[in-house]
Amino acid sequence: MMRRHWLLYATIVLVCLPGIAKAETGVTDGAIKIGSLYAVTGANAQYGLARTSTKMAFDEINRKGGINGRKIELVIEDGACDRAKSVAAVKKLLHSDQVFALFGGVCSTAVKAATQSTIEAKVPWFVLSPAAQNIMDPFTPYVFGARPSSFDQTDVLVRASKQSNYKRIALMSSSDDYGVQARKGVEKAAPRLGLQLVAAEVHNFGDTDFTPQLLKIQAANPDAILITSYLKEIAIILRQSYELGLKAPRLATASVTTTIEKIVPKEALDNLIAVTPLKDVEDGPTFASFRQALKDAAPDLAAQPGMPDYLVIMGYYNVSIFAEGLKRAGRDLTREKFITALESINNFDTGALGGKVSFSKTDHDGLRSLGYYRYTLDKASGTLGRKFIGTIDLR
Amino acid sequence: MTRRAAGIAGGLVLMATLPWLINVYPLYVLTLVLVSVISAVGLYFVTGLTGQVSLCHATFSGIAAYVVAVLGRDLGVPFWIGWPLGAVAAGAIGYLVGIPALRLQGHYLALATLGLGEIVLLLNVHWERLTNGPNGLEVPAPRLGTVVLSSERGKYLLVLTAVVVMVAFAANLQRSKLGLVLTAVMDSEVAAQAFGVRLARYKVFAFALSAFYAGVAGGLYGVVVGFITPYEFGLWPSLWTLTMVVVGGMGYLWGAVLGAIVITALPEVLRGLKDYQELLYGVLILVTLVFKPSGLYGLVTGRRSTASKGSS
Amino acid sequence: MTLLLAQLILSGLVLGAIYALIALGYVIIYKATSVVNFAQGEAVMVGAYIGLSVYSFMHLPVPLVFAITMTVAALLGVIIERVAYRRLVGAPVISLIIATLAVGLILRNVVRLIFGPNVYPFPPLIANRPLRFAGLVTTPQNLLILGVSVTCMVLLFLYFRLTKWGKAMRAVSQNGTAAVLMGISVRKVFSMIWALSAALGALAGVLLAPLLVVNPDMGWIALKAFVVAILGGFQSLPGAVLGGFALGILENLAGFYIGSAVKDIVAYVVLIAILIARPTGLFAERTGKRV
Repeated sequence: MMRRHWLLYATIVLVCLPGIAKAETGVTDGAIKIGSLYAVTGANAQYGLARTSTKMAFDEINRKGGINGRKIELVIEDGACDRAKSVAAVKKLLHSDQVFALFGGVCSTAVKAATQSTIEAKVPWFVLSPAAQNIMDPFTPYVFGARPSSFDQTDVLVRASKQSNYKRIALMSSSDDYGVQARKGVEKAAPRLGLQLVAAEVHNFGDTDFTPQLLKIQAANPDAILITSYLKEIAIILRQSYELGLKAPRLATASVTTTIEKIVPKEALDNLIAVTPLKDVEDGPTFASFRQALKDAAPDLAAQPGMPDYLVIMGYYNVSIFAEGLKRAGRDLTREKFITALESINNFDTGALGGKVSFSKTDHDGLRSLGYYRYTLDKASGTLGRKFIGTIDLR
Repeated sequence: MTRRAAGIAGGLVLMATLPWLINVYPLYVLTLVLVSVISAVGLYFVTGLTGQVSLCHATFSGIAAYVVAVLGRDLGVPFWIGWPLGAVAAGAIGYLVGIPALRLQGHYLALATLGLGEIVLLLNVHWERLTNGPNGLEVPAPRLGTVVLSSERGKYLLVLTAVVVMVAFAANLQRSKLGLVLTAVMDSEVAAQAFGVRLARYKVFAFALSAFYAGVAGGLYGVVVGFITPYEFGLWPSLWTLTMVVVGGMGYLWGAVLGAIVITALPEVLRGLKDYQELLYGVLILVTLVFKPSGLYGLVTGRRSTASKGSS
Repeated sequence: MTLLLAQLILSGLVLGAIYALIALGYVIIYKATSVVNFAQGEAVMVGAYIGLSVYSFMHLPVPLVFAITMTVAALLGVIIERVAYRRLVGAPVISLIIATLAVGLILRNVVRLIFGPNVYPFPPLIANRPLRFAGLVTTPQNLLILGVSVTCMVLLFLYFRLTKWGKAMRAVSQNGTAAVLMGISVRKVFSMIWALSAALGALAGVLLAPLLVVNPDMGWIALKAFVVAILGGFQSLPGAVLGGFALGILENLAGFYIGSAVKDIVAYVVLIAILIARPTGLFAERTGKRV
């Protein structure tokens, strides 16, 4: 029999402490409380680094006087890209912190799980870049995003293949939900554009060897290979396909960052085409001022390899869309008015995304134009160059 | 009424009224804590009590959760039927696993169960037509007549009821003849055999029982979170449940309960530490183990030994 | 067709060498302490990061990189053993196993806090043009891994048979009480064992770093190595190496001829089949049942 029950009750009390709540909707005279879900810990923590640029953007807005006379108070919670933890984080933001709305979020399964709570609570959430289709489908008025969705990314890859006259394409996709949806996207887009899918191989997240799949793809003799996976896996796939002698050019989804130039031999990157939600490459001239501002505000982040990647850039620039909605909603701020205000945004130029952002009463997927770029190896000089090719409008 | 009974009754009343005292967030965390208590108690039977290390505990939870979700989706089977079916299915598979498990000792059993868990996980991920693969399945809220248990309060009360029933059953089982036999198995297999105990029967039973408990927890988990994916029932959740039993106090039923509460609630309590949450989490577990190998239960009751004591 | 098969086997051998190298680390600890070291993957990861700091940031020559990485890792192994595992002697083995789990978690987070969560590039240890011969292809890096794994196994074998420390370790793993009675300092031996295992893991980390991508979670690969260790019976070093090669080849063959989805399941199915058929593993020494 437990003599010291206190330990048991102490734990319960500790957990309940944040729950002694006040009744507000996150708006006071001087401030608007915005909640943010990002991965701070866990195996996918590199996708949560955008929290720093998001904070940077909101700090900037506050320095310039806020929105309609109110400063933004940002509360960031860790979802660790884990469903259970993300749901708990969002419930804390909603019920303990009592935020007005949410901004941010990258991991598809975690965000999807957490949106169930925000939708139930009728709180608007502007997600950053979860690629899953099912985040906005079925349609809900409470979720907004200007992001590269799985289907759009693969659509661009397939169109880029067609543009380069590749008729027979092979697919290497991750087995998780991101990869599964991307695969469905390719299976939809390819026949529509008259391309033939000659091989479709699957690998698991975290795999480090892809020899059997690559040999099978090689045996099918494709004109091009589409890879829909994450940075670590894409890097190894590129290297191994080069080592095995696969000549077919590769196309990859948005997970590629500049780090890949150092992980993979130059020859393996030759002719690689990758999708990006941005209108320029991350180290291109468009983002020079952002890169400098990031170095000043967050030197540790800026010094990390591959930074800023497209997520960090989006984490900053997409705030302007969110802020525009808050501005249009006016001083008399309610959640319904905020939603209506966001829906009124049409052809908004963030200065960073591959296309102008538009919402409507029935469509909250604001970005339907993505960019793509290509790596080219100059055989003579041996230098690897990356060039932004252009954007493709998918509407 | 004895003081102890009054204490328990008081505690139950407090737990039952909590939904009206605290807000949704801690209520949600508490609900998850209670679900993990059921799971940990299950693992206690097989690992804490009969010493068979099972690293596929979460797999049994997953089997039940998916039975609930798939039957609900394909045949419209309501939760109240799907849930016991799922738990029994899990228990049956636990029984089937328990039989070959008899041939394996210690680490080999642990690793075989690890392998089994990974196989089921991979099957789950790739068999999309049945399980919808990594995209997961929705678990609709259970209906009680006209009432839909979709609110945090409703789910909490459902789970609370289940926990009370399952833990009470476990405590009773411990005190019964069956419980004493299982305890004897833990203390010494050789001695138990010398006393004529048919070891095999009891060890397999322990496996089946633990899988049943895991299944009960799994069905509830699906309802609480509303959505299930294969990875939530993989190796890491099994390892965490094992951590609950070990850190809470191996060989003690209430140790498993205590461990479940602390291990599940701690990450939420540590939220404020931002980047350092997981680090401190790991340090706390390590420190507990190093300084109190008999676990938190030993800390709370002042017991020193790690030998099993079946009584609560 | 046979060329394809040969390529699959060759690549499988390299893959297997990686598994084997990591599995050796598991086996060494298990033989002596009956502990399954859940932090072995983190030993690999830490080795990669130490190597990263020394090779990529400080630009030291390759042999020095190996030496420094293994030494630092060995020291780390001893410290962790002193601070954590030593106090758990006498506690049920499962407590130690969970403790290694916690240590792994701590190491991952410390590395993540110091270096950040992003992936780091690690330059190749030797010039890495693909080598083609007889229609097959591999790389110098792969051959290096093969060479190092086999050399390690041979060296370890000799170490355990011929050196004083090696024999002491075997004595301790066979019978701890008798070892003490013979005057062996069991404490020192335990420290050496964890140090040795950490150094092996770190070596694997440095070899793997150019192949994988250096990040705090690269220890995942150790899970497969687990399976390999069991195939070898968890007690036998040659068993681990042979098991590694066998699994690497098997995975490749299954992945190609059956399907990529099956590739991962293969390892675990084989594991279970072996455990059911021969519960002490394929190559286990006959030690009799431990009561």
